[in-house]
Parts: sequence; structure tokens; C-alpha cells
Amino acid sequence: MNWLHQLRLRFRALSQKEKLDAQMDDEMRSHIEMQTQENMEAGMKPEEARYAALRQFGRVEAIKETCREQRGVSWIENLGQDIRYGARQLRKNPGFTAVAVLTLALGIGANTALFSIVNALLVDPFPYRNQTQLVQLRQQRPKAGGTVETGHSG
Amino acid sequence: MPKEKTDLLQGTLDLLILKALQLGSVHGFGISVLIRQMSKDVLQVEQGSLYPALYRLEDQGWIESEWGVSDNNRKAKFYKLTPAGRKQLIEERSNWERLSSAINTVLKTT
Repeated sequence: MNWLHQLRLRFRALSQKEKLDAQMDDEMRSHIEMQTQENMEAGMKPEEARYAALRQFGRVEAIKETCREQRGVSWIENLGQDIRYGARQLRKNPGFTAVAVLTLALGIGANTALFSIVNALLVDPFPYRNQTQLVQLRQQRPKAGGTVETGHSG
Repeated sequence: MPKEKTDLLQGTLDLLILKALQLGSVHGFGISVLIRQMSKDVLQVEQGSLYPALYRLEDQGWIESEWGVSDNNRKAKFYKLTPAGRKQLIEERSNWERLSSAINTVLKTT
């Protein structure tokens, strides 16, 4: 049931992003403090100890970013960011947005109308079952010298 | 950064972390100290590898975390093995032994 566990973690990563980020900050900060403590116990002065601890930890922001990636939801977050950016850009360019929307509406409308016609005429013209089995009946009357039509066509 | 590491190195770090947690729950700093001590100062884990590895192991369900208080009354996030993690430790350990003895065998031939 590992996928269920992972799904739960992913959901939490999305819904509680700020809380998780704050916890990550706390965790790294407490690590640095403990390292500083260890350095001081080894004889360094407080400022030097803290500086050494920070240096040893490395680029904290880069590490946090790597940890965030481990949450497995960065693609969703990136997608969300891109969509929001797109929406902002559309709002900023109302003229362009209007033209794009009209073009889409025209295209979709024309397509739907055309398909409806084709559907009614060629694909599904009669509201009967077994349309392909409709036949037309004719009677021939040789005496009267002509044909009389019964039945329907079209 | 971890994406450039080979799978071999990544798996080895996972193994070390799981082993460090075998006897109880430890916080991140404690894990790096433990690994250093247990390896007699040979292995020093960079924080840049440690924390991503911890988060990955937690994601895979082999360790779990909870906040607690350290010896110095500091708030810290403690990690401990899950039952699945204990099984994983055994499996990874036997994988490692198989792998390292194979490499040794290769190195011994001329």
C-alpha cells in the first residue's frame, strides 16, 4: 500500500505547503544550531562557531529546494504557476484575449453546426431502427400500362 | 545535486541512514554524528545529501518523523524506522554485501 502512503504525502504537500516549508526551515535551523553548539564545545568562539556551522551546512536554499522536489508534487506546482501566469497575461491584454476567444468561439460554433448537419443528413438521418434495411415497395400493373408507387423514399 | 550522484552512492547513503536508525529515533544532526562516529570519522555526510535522503526515505515509507525535544531542550525533528524500513534495511544490507564482495572479487583478479 505504498502508493496510498505516497498519495497521502503528496496531498499533504499540496494542501499544507507553507506549514511543511516552515517545518523544513525549523529543521535546518536546529541542525545549524546544534552544529554551532558542537563547535563551541570544541573550543571555537560563538561567532566563529556559527560561521563554521553555516559554511559546513552549505547552500541552505539549494538544499531546501532539493528537499521540496522530494515531495513529488513539483510538477503540479509548476503547472499551477504556469496557468496563473497565463491568466495574468490574458488579463493584461484584453484586446488579444477578446480576439482569441472570438476565434475559438467561431471555430467551435462552425464545427458544431457543420457536424450537426452532417450527422442529420448522412450519419443518422432517420429516427428508425435498422435504417439500412428500409425498402421501397412498388406495384406493377401491366394492364394499366404503368407503375404505381407505394411506400416512401427519402 | 543528488540527480548527478550515481544510484550506487545514493543507495549506500540510504543504507547508512537506515542502519543509524536501527537502535532508536534520532534527529538529522544526530544521524550525521552517528554515521561519523560509527565509521570512525571516515564517513562525513554532507547536509546537502542527508536531508534530501531523509525526505526521500520518508516518502518511500521506510522511516517516519515526528517533532520532539533534543538533549539540549531544542525542538528537533526525530526520525525512526518503520516496520517496512526494518525489512528494507536487511534487504539492502544483503544487497550491499553481495555487491561489495563481487567488486572485491573483480579487483582481486590481477
